[in-house]
Amino acid sequence: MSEGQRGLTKMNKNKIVNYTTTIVPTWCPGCGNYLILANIINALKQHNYQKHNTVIVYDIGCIGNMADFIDTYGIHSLHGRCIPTAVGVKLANPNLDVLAIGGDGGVYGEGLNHLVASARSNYPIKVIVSNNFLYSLTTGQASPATPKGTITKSTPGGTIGEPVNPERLLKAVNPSVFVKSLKASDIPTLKTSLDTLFKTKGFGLLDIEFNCVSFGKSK
Amino acid sequence: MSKNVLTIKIAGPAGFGIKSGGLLISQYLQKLGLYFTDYSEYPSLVRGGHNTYQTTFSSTPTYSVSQKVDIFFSLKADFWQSHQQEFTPDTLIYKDLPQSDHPNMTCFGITVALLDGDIKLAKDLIKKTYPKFIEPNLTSFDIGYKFAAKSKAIFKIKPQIVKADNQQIFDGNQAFAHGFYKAGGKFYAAYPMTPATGALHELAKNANNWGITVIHPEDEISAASMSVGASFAGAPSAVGTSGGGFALMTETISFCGITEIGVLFYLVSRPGPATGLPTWTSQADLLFSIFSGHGDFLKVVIAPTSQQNTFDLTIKALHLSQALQTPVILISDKLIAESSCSLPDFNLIKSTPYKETFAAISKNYQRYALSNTGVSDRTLPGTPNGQFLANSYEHDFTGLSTEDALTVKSMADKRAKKLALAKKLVPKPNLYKNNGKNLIISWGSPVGCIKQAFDMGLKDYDLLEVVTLWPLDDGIKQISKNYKKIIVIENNQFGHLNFLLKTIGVNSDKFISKYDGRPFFPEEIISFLSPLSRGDVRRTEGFN
Ligand SMILES: Cc1ncc(C[n+]2csc(CCOP(=O)(O)OP(=O)(O)O)c2C)c(N)n1
Ligand code: SF4
Ligand SMILES: [Mg+2]
Repeated sequence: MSEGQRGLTKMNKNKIVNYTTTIVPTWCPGCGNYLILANIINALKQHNYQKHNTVIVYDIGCIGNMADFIDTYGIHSLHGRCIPTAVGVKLANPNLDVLAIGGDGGVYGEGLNHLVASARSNYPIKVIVSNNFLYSLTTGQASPATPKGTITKSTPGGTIGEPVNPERLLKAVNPSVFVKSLKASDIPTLKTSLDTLFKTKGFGLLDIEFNCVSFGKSK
Repeated sequence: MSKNVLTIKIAGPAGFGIKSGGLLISQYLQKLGLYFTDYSEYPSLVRGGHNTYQTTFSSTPTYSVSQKVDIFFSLKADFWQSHQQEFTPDTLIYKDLPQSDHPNMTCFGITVALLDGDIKLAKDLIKKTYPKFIEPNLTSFDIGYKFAAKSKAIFKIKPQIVKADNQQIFDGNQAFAHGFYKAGGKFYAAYPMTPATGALHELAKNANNWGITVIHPEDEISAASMSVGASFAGAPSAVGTSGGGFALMTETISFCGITEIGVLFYLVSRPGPATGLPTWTSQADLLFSIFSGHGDFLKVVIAPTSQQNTFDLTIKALHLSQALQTPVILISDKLIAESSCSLPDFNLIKSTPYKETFAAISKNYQRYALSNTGVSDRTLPGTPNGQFLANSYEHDFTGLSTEDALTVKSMADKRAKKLALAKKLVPKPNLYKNNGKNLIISWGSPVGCIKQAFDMGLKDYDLLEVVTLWPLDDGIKQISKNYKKIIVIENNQFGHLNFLLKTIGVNSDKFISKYDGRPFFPEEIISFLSPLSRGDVRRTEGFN
């Protein structure tokens, strides 16, 4: 549904839409994912996304657990596969608003091939990455975004790879897509960037960074 | 000489138009009103190598090609040598063809002359097929025709007039594509892999006309994931691949299992392990497909035995995936998928999309509510107040994650209930009577070959064709009790169905296997089963 069309079927502004389920989020106190959740819900509201017309496809990871907290049509897909699954939804029914939400491990690691391919094709889906530089759900191993040299449980000698830089990567792949990295704690930028993402017609990716409270390394 | 079934074979290097020229001959035969079944062998190369095309034709339906050849064309002088065991004393062997630009058309010309055929029909076909190169092709055709005209028409087959207008030539992959369309299929994703690629080509070519979204994504994992997303969004979906690509899709099969999203997996086997023999045939993926996907969940595995059967069973299989909300695997092989025959024009057949009942929305709508059959009505995205989560984690009746022991068990039991429904809905085995005291049990492509062997005079055996390989039909044991001996025939090494049959108490007396990448030929079946032959009969080392 185009922005214009959505205006026609706009929900009653006075009616408060509750986008959350009854499940209380299970993230660690102080986790950046709370900020991401709150701001995604805000953006859904602001852009009048209707619960029945929105499909959010979640990856596996701490961030993926958001699947239980937002009340739209949803798919809690497999690790690394939120993007191709979301592309399938969108291609089958282009009228739906389709988001893919995953972690740095899922999107830049297990599913990197899908990220590159979907950006190349400029599929009109919105990808939100919760980038905590780690595999957190599996208790803190190195991810493709972990800064070089970081010691983790799976890399006691320090990581040897250069971290993925999503902005440089996607711009190299397809300069016409929207891609932006930012800090989750920078709330004003988070709000405006989500706004831009939601207005993006083609493929867009927001890379939202924070340090994992439980397994993160304060450098 | 008058024979009712004849076989023509062409051998030569890739790039000589062996298959296209051969297919043109088959097309000609079909236009005459004859039935044919063809088969081609080619190495995984674009140029060179040793390619063959053979077509077996008759005025009555054919089910497979014969091994013994009546007319043989060698497009390179020495290519005939490796085919000597296919010759009979009566075989006409053309080792040295007269010089021409298009030797495949010269073969066509010779064939038409030998069959005392209709030259105009042949030339019209050439003009239609090669509109840009009519003259050189016709010239090569004439060279062949004149060359053979001297030897007079020596084969006479009385063409049976089937309404040639309504007959078309399809291979198994095209039959799958047409079946998918007629079944109401809307989304197909595939990564090229021989011998399943033809289905992608056929669907991509017709995508716009047929209103189907066809995607060639970055890999098979993506193909399967996209199809799951598309099916969730309401598009009846399928993927197609061979064993290697199917291996990458197994995580998605499991995902379909827990989220109860129906997707059709079209698996066209070639010999493995690994890259194996890309352009040859095999039935060695049966157990892998049945046991694909981690965890306990229902899946259905169905195998077509011919191109027509591929069309019919594709429709059935897609509908089953929708009715059962679970993955369904249609397992074929190179022999069926890349071989052609004359068939009623699928374009004239009415489409029959599955009529799904969607959930009536109430305040307490639960996507995964318990039900008598184990299937619960879903909603499609876009339906107000119908939103739910399709969850790869174990979930409760609404789709939200749960680890509660009681709920976990009841969801597993709900999904398992579908087994009883599946057993009611899946295609039953077919019994072909042939005055048999003994019973052959087989599945997939060898079935056609066994039927052809019956036509060629094999007696004393009935044939049980197992269409649904999973879940296996409970009646098989009862049927097998009526026979003295049970013989299982499969195009694999270890005996996959042979192994499965033991699980329902059917122990075969003989297992006949072939696993050199080549299909069975009817002559081989006859010799394996003749009382004198010790044949190529093996006790398996694997699944005993
Ligand atoms: C195929 C597969 N491999 C591994 C896992 C285990 N696993 C679960 S989450 C995860 C990594 C998560 O990292 P990330 O995507 O960055 O999400 P985070 O937990 O950091 O939010 C892994 C490896 C899995 N679920 N599936
Ligand atoms: S482990 Fe890290 S990422 Fe996961 S919930 Fe806790 S703080 Fe957040
Ligand atoms: Mg992470």
